[in-house]
Amino acid sequence: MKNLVLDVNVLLDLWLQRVPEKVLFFIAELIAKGENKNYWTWVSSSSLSTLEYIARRELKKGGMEGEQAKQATHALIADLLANVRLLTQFGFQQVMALQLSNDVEDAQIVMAASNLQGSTAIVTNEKRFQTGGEVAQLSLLEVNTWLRQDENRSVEFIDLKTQQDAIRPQLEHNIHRVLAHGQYIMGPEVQELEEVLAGYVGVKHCIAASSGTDTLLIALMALGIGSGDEVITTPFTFIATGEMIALAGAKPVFVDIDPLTYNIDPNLIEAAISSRTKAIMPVSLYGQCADFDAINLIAEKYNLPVIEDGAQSFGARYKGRRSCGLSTIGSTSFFPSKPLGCYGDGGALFTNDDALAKAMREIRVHGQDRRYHHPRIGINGRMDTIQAAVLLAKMKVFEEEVTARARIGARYSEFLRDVAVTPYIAPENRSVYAQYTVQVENRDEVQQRLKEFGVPTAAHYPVPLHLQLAFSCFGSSDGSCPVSEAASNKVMSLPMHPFLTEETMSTVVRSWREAII
Amino acid sequence: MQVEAIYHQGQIRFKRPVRFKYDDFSITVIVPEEAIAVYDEITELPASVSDAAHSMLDRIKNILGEHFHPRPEASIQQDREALFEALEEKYLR
Repeated sequence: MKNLVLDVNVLLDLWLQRVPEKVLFFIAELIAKGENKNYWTWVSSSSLSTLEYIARRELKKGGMEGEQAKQATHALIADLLANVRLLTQFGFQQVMALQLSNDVEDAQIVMAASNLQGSTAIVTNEKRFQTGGEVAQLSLLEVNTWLRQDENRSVEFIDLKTQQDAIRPQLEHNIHRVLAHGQYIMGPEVQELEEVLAGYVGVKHCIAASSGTDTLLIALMALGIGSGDEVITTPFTFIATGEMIALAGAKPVFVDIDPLTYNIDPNLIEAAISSRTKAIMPVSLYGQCADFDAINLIAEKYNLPVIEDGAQSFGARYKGRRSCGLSTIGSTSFFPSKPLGCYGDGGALFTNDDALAKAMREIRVHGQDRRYHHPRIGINGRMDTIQAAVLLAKMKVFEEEVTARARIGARYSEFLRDVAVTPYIAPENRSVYAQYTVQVENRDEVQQRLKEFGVPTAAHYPVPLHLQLAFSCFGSSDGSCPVSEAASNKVMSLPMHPFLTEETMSTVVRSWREAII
Repeated sequence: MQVEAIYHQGQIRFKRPVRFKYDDFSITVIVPEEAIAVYDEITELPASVSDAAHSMLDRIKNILGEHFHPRPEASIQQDREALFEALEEKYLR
């Protein structure tokens, strides 16, 4: 997405009708909120007082009474602010603003515009800004052409920059609220986030924590899993899943995956259950939920709890219900690249079980039930308040992003169906496409060629857990999970994020077609 | 003296280096007629203006009432003067 920052004179032209009618409509069109726009419209907060002074002065000159002119100007500014995004002036940038230009207000606009991540232009009747080339400046006549030009940005594997521009005003508001109240760990935003997330998932309890790795450990500890126990899980996942089982003192028992969904194959679980089995921990990989009805049925039969590792699937649906609300405990990660990611590490646990929720809350804070009273052993698993503040801002647009991810995933598959093994999404699932992962035979070569074309890729994951050296003590061997082993040699994830444009997708697909030859 | 220059994005750059005795002085620039843009060239307006844009103009009309009427184009200098007058009125009177 591109950014247009409107200069004072353009807004005055609109309010004071100083341009022909069609130009008035053009300016109004730039400001008015609308769908399918490929840009966001901003006004620098440093422009507001200038706008107010000039508009009031001109209205008074035109015969409007003083108080009426004041109120009318305020109403105009209020209406403007309801439609555009307001660019922040940071105190720490003002010295640089002074050095940049003789005109402090102009420099402030440039500095504020430079804070935006996407391509940015100041729309003005006078190209007087000293932008240093970082920010473009356009007359109204040039806007359409500039908006049509390609952004000429490199293909991003995950585009967090565009997302930041999309939520910047809310983000700044939330972060500054934390800076002001100073409760940096487990502050009020954490509780607010827990309420929002529990409501979103549709469960009674949400426990926000320090990471999506710690949440797995907390869940295992709350279930009392430890030395001598076994936990059934998938080998085709990030290390944290098996690692936390081992760290809790238990043995990860790896069960192979379904070749279509890459999730644990429920048909193989029962054979892996022993008298030492204490839980089943499926992973909802790449953003698609595992087959929870089948898994829960087996768990019920053997009276086992199920922990969903939904680190990649927050926002996904399984038979209409949301990931993390499908089993005894749901766990997710807010690592920055996740569908819902914060600006550091973060995670959350979900359950309808009151006793488990209480245990997990205590374990999160060193096993504490009240200050300095520790009925159980816990960990330092608290969430930083700033991460909660970031997530609250992101939750406001999350469902839109989930919809965009689903649309983009489906579109990719249309493009690639004839030249790649595209993701299979089971009919009962809505994937959030945390990764858009295809299969290719000669992965290393294709990855290298795509890199040369400027298309970043990743292999999730090149070595299944049962073949990792760290797990060799558990005695798994090559060939014990053949589907995972085969997949780990072929899977490749392509750029995926909710802001992927048709043009960028076309670039990726064109590069793919050339790379596989 | 005459010096050839290039205009780009609001800045004029001489094609050859020239050193000046002063920091500030006025110069005359010949701008080719064909390079001068006029609002009539905004021909790329959407065939129909969006409801949101219509509604924005309606709101401005409502706020300003009879004072929403065409005014002559204003230069940046004129806007600056209006700003200075307003500041003077607030702080000096």
